Amino acid sequence: MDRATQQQGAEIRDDYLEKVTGAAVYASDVTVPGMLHGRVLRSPMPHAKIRSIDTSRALAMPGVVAVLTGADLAGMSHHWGLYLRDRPLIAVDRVRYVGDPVAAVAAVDEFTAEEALDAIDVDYEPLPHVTDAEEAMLPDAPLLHEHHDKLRDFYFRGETRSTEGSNVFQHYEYAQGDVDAAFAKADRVFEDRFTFPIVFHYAMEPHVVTADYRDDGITLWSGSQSPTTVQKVLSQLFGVPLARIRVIVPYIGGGFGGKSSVKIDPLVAALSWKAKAPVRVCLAINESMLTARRLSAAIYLKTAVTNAGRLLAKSVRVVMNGGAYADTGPAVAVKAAIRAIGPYRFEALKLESYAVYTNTVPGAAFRSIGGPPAVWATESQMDIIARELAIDPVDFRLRNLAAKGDSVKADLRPIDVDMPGMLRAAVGAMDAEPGANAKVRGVAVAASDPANIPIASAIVRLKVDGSVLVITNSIEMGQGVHGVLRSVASQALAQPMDRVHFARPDTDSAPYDWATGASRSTVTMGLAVEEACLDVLKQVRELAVEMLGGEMSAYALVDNGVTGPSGFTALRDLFIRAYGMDSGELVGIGRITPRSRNGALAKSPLFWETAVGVGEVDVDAETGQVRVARYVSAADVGRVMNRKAAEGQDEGAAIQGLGHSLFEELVYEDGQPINASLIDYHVPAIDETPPRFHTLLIESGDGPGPGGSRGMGEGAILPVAPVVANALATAYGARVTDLPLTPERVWRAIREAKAKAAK
Amino acid sequence: MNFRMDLTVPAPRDSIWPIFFDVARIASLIPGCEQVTEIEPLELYSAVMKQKIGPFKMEAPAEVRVEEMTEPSRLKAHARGKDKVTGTTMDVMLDVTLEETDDDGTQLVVDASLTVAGRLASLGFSVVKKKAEEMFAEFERRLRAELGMPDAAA
Repeated sequence: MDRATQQQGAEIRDDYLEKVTGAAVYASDVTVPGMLHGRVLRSPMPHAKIRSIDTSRALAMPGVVAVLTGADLAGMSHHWGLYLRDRPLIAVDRVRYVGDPVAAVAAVDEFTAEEALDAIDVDYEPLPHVTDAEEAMLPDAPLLHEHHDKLRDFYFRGETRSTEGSNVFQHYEYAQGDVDAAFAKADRVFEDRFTFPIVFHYAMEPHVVTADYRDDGITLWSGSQSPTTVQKVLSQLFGVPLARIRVIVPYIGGGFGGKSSVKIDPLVAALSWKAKAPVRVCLAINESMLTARRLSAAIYLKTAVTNAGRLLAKSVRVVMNGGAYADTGPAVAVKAAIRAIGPYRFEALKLESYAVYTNTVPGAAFRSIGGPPAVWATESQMDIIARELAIDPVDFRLRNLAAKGDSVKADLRPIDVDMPGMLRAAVGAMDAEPGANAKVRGVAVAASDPANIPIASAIVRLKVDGSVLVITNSIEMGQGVHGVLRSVASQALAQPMDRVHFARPDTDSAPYDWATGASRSTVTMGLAVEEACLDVLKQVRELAVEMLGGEMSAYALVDNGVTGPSGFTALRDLFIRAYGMDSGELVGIGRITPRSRNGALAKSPLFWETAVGVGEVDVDAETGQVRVARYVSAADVGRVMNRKAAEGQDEGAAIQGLGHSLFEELVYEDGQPINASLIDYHVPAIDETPPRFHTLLIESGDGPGPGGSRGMGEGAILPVAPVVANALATAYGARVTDLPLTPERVWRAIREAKAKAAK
Repeated sequence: MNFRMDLTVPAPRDSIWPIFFDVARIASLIPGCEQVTEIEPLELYSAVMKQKIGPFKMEAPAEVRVEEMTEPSRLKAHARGKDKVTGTTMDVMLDVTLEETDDDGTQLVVDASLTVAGRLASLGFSVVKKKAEEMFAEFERRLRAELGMPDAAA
């Protein structure tokens, strides 16, 4: 069955039915015999010393088993991180943001644990705090971390460039070409500043972990996007060998990066250690909002152009608010600078970015790390320039877009898709929409270099009855990866989909994978599964040659058997011949590493994740309220592996982008996050989504993944905000440079534009 | 949250200072501040802050510490209280300066900063802020009355 036939045929995702019937087991559904329930006491102070913690009243409450505080960590090395070991298992003598875990209670039920939190007395001595990144860079700003304990080659390659004695925990710099000369010869130089807010991932399932710490090892059932990183961090913290740390990942109710790397796992493991029993900690959603969020940013762009509309040089400076602990912020800052280049050709580039500690929720990976702030700035400025030069914004982009094979940054793989073609196709698709109106239209393009580390492995087991088990650590969080990988195995082994099964990710059985994120699993794990299938295929042929004679190449695997010179032989007959019994299996292993395929996968990025957005707005000029009436989202995904899921990912990413475009911002006042609840923090509701939404998936068939596929799912979030802002400029000449585009900002910008026009 | 009050009092500084020298008296001008008790004269006082903020009734035992007193020109006091029921802490810094003006009057400046932390701050910051604004306005009204000055609004 070829791919096209399969797409028209049976549903390749077997999680849908489980999910709609409520049978699916999510991370938050896990129960373990003897399990206690944990709750976390969090700092109400943005920055303070802990003078004392009195847990005696809490411990005296019936049903309370244990209370974990910093005092329990004496004598143990209790700091962890991904780039910097800057985060304690639980606050020891200091809190650094409102929400910082201060104590954790394990009790017989959640209610008792929650009650016990109120019986813990903490005496704080307030310290000066800072919540703004640019203020945190000033010499007299309150210092969050006195020492920077850096890790090297830990979660990403290399290390961060932090400045001890300051709040700067990453400073990235890059230059190519003669920047000064390019600026000197420019006809025009444009300088603009843009800001992007703190936004929350808003996964429907909050962070949840059940941990069982025993003398002989630790078992966790975790809502984690990266179980192998959880293993690594726990191993170093507790001195337990990797082989004795088991992380099982049931279905996750959404991740978006908020559950990548490591979040609450060390704390829950420590609470289980203290309570000497398995403990489940399921955060409330408002606690998840205090656990991870996107890094906010101020982006400064300086761009040199000719009067004829040719881009010459660009200087990018990004200051990112990284929150109280670095997490993967150093990587986010680097990507933000790179993604601000855009898919354009420049003679010279100067990039600089900072990630800065502040007394706010720790910044973390979020769907296209650094991408939305970068593209928001760059694509807004592209429009500003086009309008100033009186060139049509689409035409201006077409004049400067990198063609397939052009390099946008010297040390990266050249652009591998046809960006101009994609832009034309997307504009064409919008023109064909009923009611299309170019007078209220905005356009934006984006290219990102996913951090898709090429390290993945898979095991595929072909059983005697022809059933197949695919075992990997790829996490199903709603994106459909299990269906895609089953489909890859089904194709490679020529077995029907209903015979191919997927094992629940479990580090005890599945081989190493870096993580599920960065749009990587279809490509990297897809290739690993393909290799594992080839390994199985080789073993089947070897067995056939040994038992039935002939050449390896004469045998092919077919539905539940092999065909060869003597016709069809059922798998079980082959096993009986080989083993004398109706039993056994063939086990294949597939590995992808930077050394695979003669190093062809090593160069970053493995593929470019690109997107074009074209949108038309409907604005109430009296109130400034913006609605997106029509939206076209286009991407070259190489090959569509599952159309329904791919379109779902594209739409989902764009609508998530609509959130930070129009509504979302975590607001800080006096160091307090004042809208960290679902009541006060608004994401798009269904009646706020575009009534007409068209996804255009382009299949060039030349991606590095199975069937020529590329990764997808993160691209469509990138263009939305500048599309809306650019549409406001088209319609009213109004320009807003701060997100979200609230009615007040839009109303003011329209009023200002009208006043300017009247002069 | 920062508040500032700046007014010119048509009376010599020495006649105004006694109001500020009497910490219990000045504290009683703060709305909701009750049971002001002297522990260490001109150093430490205790009080109870009673407030109704939105649906919440708070009763926070507070400690008022005089951090600086330069007679007759400056008073700096720091009050901290915690309401056990809502787990809310309040921290108030009060900085009062009195300067003589050329025409024998007094320039009175009150700088107050209020920090609220805990459940109330995270759930209802806008309500807390509005309440704090009202409280400060009331404090200003009472202080004017104490100084025998007309209402700002009048």
